[in-house]
Amino acid sequence: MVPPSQDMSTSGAAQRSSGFELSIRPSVAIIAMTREFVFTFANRILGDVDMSSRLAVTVHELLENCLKYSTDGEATLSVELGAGKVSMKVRNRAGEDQITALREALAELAEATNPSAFYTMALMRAAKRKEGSGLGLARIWAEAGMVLRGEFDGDVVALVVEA
Amino acid sequence: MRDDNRKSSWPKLASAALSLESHVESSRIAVTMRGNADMESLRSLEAFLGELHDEAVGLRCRQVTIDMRELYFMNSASIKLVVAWIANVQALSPTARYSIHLASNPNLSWQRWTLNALKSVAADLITVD
Repeated sequence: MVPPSQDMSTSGAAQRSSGFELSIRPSVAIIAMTREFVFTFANRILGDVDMSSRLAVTVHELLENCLKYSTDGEATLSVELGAGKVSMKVRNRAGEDQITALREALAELAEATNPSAFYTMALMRAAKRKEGSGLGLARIWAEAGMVLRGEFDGDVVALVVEA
Repeated sequence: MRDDNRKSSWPKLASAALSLESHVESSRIAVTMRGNADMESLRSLEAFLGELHDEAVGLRCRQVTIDMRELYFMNSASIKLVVAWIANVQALSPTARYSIHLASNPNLSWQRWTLNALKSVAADLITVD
């Protein structure tokens, strides 16, 4: 684990940012532990329980995706917290089918305009799905209020979320 | 009416992260969920909801209440199980159908969005407070 960094190069609380990067092999226990850590860390830095909860939900969903789809079982989590902006990136290796599915899911999300309606639609669709819930990204966008984008480089996929 | 065997088999979840307690009150089943529902508790939650549904139908319950005020987190896969349970209730005949009441904690941000979205899925069945 890389220790939290604080960029104090510019004066004033509004410019402060803190972050960390973790290289992990997600497991059920590690994901729960990381969720708790992100909540505690974010709440300490931001003093915002609501935002910290949203980040905790987001990291949980992203790491569960890694656990299901990472081809080598490894993931890198980066978190950056500032007064006006928070961002999180989860990077892992994935197979071709999963990358295609992720691109399609992001494209569908990009076309949606109403988070609440989209999430409700995703819930109704989830009940009929045999594999997975298909709720993770919809939840991050609607419930956690995060903007998502993907970065693709060969078999390396990074999901970036910002608020 | 439920017999002794069914009483003894009434599901209780064994998970370090999630606990479920339930009891029957007249024509209502009251369930309390506490902790965190994630992959660790997924299979147990699935079994619990299946048995809860069978019990509610068998007892001709009119309402199932789920107290989620101390349910701090629920992952997407667990939410999917709840949606599937709701779909099973919707699939019942109108006379066999029971309503679902969700007691929420407004301080938990995930509940504000997700429970209201669940209500949208089945507005005629679900109430949230």
